[in-house]
Amino acid sequence: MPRSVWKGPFVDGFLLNKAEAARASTRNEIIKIWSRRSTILPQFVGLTFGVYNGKKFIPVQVSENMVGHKFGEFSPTRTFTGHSSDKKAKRG
Amino acid sequence: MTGKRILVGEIGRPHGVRGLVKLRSFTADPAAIADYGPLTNEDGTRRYDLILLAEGLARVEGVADRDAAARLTGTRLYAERDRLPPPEEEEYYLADLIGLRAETEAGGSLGIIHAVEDHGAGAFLVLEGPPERLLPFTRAVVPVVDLAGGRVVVVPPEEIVVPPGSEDAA
Repeated sequence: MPRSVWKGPFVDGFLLNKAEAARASTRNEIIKIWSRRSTILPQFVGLTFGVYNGKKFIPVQVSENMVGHKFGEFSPTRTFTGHSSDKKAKRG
Repeated sequence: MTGKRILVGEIGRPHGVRGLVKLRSFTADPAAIADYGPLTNEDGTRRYDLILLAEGLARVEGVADRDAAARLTGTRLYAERDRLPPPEEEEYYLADLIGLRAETEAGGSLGIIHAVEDHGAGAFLVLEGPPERLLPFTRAVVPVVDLAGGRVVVVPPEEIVVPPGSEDAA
C-alpha cells in the first residue's frame, strides 16, 4: 500500500540542512548520509551524496529522473562484481 | 593500448553431442562477443572462431563432437583491445581506466584504480586501499584522464560539515 499523498514525501530533517549547506557552498563536496530511507527531492538534483551501504559510502550523483526514489536504491548492500569487458563509463 | 587483451567471455559446458557449447558472454551486449573476433585463450596460443546460436549456445570452428567440446569447458576468451570501437566523447572503457594511477594535482599518489562501478547514479572509481576510496567519476573530481600517461588527476571531494545544533540526528 503506498504512502498517503497528504503526508508528502518522507525526508530526514538533517538531510535538508546538509543539502542546503552544500548548495550554498561552491566547493567540490560530497554529503555523507546514513539515511537510505529518505526520498530524493527536486532540490537535491545536481548534488553528490555518499550513501552508506553498511560498509562504505557509495557516491550517488542525483539527477532529475531519480526524484521520488529513495537514496538506498542507489547504494546496494550486496556485492556483485562482473567483468569489465567492453563496458564503458561516462564522465558526469 | 596496442597488444592489450581483454576478457570477453568464457566457454561453458558442452550441449548435445554435436560439439555445441554454452557460452558465457561478459560484453554489454552478449551477442557482441562475436564481433570482437578472433578470440584467443588466456596465453594467446589458441584461436577460436565462434558462431553464435540461440539461447546462449555457440559452435566453435573445428569442434564437432561432445568430447572435444568438453575439453574447452572453462576456457576464457580474450579479444584484442584494438578491436573495440572508439568510445564517444567523455566515455571510457572500464578496461582502459582500471589500473591507472590516481594522482593529486600536486602529483601525490592516491593509489591505483581497482574498479569502476555504476549502480544507476553515475559511475564512480574505486581506488585500492587501505583506505579504499570511492570517487565520483565527474569532471569536478577527475578533471584529467590521461590514458597515454597511465594516470588520472583527482581532486578529492571534501565532506560537507554542518554546524553543530543544526542537525536533528546523525
